[in-house]
Amino acid sequence: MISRKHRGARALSVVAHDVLIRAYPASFRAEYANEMRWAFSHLCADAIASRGLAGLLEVWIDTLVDFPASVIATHRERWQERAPLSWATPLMLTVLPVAVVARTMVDGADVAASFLHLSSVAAYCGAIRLWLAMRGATSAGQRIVFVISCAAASATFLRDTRMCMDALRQSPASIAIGFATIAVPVAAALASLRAAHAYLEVRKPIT
Amino acid sequence: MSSASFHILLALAGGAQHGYSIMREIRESTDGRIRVAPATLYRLIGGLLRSELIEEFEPGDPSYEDERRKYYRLTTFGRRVLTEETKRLVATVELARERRIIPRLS
Repeated sequence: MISRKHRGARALSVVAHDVLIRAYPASFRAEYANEMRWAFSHLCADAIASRGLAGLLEVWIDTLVDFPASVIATHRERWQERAPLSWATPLMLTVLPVAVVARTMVDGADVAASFLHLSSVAAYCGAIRLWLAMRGATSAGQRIVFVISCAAASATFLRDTRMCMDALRQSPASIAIGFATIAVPVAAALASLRAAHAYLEVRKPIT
Repeated sequence: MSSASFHILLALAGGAQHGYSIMREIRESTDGRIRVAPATLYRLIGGLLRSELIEEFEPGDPSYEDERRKYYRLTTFGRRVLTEETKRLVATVELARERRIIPRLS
């Protein structure tokens, strides 16, 4: 028979555990919060029944030791599930400034023009990234975003193509450099994305 | 495969169980050396479900401890993975015996 003191300690523990559960991602809580609460409550009851408050203390030590690592791991897993290509953003942020600097130095374009160019390249890369994400995307929202992004990227692409054709008529060497600064980072980014994606798929661990 | 995931699969090799029952079995079968907290247990269960090594199971049978709980059981693929992982561990132990890290069985 569990004493009133132990019952109170168990109830308090479950409430405190509920507070900890709030640190986990919402989608994880929706799936498992009830089960976690129930399991923790039984864990406390068993510990109290066998070793009293010392047993409960041991449960809490285990829980608190596990807490930081499991919160970080759960958030990381859910984030990777939501945005499997999110690692592409840092890659883009590395490649694109290089393209701007290269264009500014090689082609002699001013900084404002280079940033305009950066936005074009970013639009293409965004479309490519979304296209890759689409291969695993199923929600209607993601499809709408993809279509809008493709339309925006297409408009940018057509504008740049017209500018390229004009420049080509005036200076073939200049447009060759301009074309290279667009094509090389996009091709490099796409190749890197594909290689990294394939590598991650092969190396995906069973956890 | 992590040690905790392996022990979850091992616990389910005996039949469908709910989360708390898995935790208890792991603790008892390892003499308390491995204790899995609820958060880690359900995070690992989520991963095993996604990998299709285990599946949710609706008991529909009053002999189960609490039919309102989520029960999990091994899939055929999960059992095959568990078998292969066990063989790998046995081979590792054999190697350790050969290298005299642990004594040979008499």
